[in-house]
Amino acid sequence: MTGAILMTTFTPEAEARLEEYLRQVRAAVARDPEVSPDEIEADLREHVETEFRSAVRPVTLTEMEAVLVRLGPPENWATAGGRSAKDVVVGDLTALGRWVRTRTRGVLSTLWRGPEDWRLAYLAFGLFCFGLLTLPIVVGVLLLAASYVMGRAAAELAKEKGAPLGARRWLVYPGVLAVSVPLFLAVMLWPVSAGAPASEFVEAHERVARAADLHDRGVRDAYQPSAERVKQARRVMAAIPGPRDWAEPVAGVFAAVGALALWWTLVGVAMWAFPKWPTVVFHPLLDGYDGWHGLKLAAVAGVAFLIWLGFATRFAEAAGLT
Amino acid sequence: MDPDLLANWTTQLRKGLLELCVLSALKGRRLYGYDIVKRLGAVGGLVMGEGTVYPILSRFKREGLVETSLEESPEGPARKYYQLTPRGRQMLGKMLTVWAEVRDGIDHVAAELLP
Repeated sequence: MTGAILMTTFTPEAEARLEEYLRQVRAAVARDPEVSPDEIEADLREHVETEFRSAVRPVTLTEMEAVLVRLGPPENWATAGGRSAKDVVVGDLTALGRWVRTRTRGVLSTLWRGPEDWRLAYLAFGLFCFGLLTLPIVVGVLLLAASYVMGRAAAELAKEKGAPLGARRWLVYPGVLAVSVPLFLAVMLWPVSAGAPASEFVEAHERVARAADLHDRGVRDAYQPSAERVKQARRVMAAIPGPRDWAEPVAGVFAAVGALALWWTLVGVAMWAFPKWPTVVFHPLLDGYDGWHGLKLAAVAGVAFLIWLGFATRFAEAAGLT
Repeated sequence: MDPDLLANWTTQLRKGLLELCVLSALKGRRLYGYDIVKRLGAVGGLVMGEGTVYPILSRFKREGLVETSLEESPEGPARKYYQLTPRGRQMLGKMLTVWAEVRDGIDHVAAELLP
């Protein structure tokens, strides 16, 4: 559409200004797929013509400018008419990029020039992230260990200054927990492994007992369990309560419980005798710990072990193991 | 409040209200674009640039909320008239309902908070 259809007569300057304005309009609304630039241009030409319906001809540049000012700057129209999905995405990505750049600059500035406690916190978190990423190769374990040390240092520094970690705990604790939680679990639960030999012990007796029960003489002779072994195996299997198929897991769990009870008794006593080391080794998991917790653990675990010992003695006697 | 934030908030507020007002202006009648612009321009603080109304009309037409018809004018070339479609009337009704809820909610909050 061109200015030729307008009935109003403009000066060349006014007409040039109108065409320039319409060009800006087309450029502005071109980003909005929900509108028609042709339609808007036609509406605007009609609008301008109606404005000058009773004006003195030819319309001057000044008069044209006044109308265009009232219409407003076209660059604002895209917003007024709604942003396209692409514009929204581009705008959001730009804002995200700006935020990332600002945060990165902040982190780097803190790393190189910031206070020591913040620097350590950022280093601890950075090492933790790289440690996770490189965990499949051995280096990740070393980085996690380094993150643990940095995190502990940051926590100690904050403690020395008498200031709480505050927001820094989100940077410090991931690396510290990545080490202290597995360490705590390993220290407290390793006796569970005692269940494996107990299961194997029962499995061996189970095998002997089953072989003796076989009606197939060929197989029985090939296995050749002695009468004494068969008798022993049958006594062991009979001493285990519950269905025979469950004998192995029952024996494993029983042994693990006993081992845990004994170990926790010893650990509890050690924690009571040396009340500082649990908080040092397992920070921040046991920050609220005091010596009495160790004694309570030792008492409960000790009682559990004694009960377990009673059952174990009865089992040993019934199985002829004493 | 940050000036940019205020400007953005004002723009968004006006945008939504202007769309409601464009549909309201066409309720029960047909108007040509210039007439709509001048009617809404008379509402203080609503239209910051008269031209902003035309992209809204274009979008409403594309969305089937308004339709246009050309009519001869004794004062010049044919004029393009806008009027609501059944869908536009439906949308106007829904928008007015939402607006009434928002307005009542704000009145309620203002009555509680303002002396």
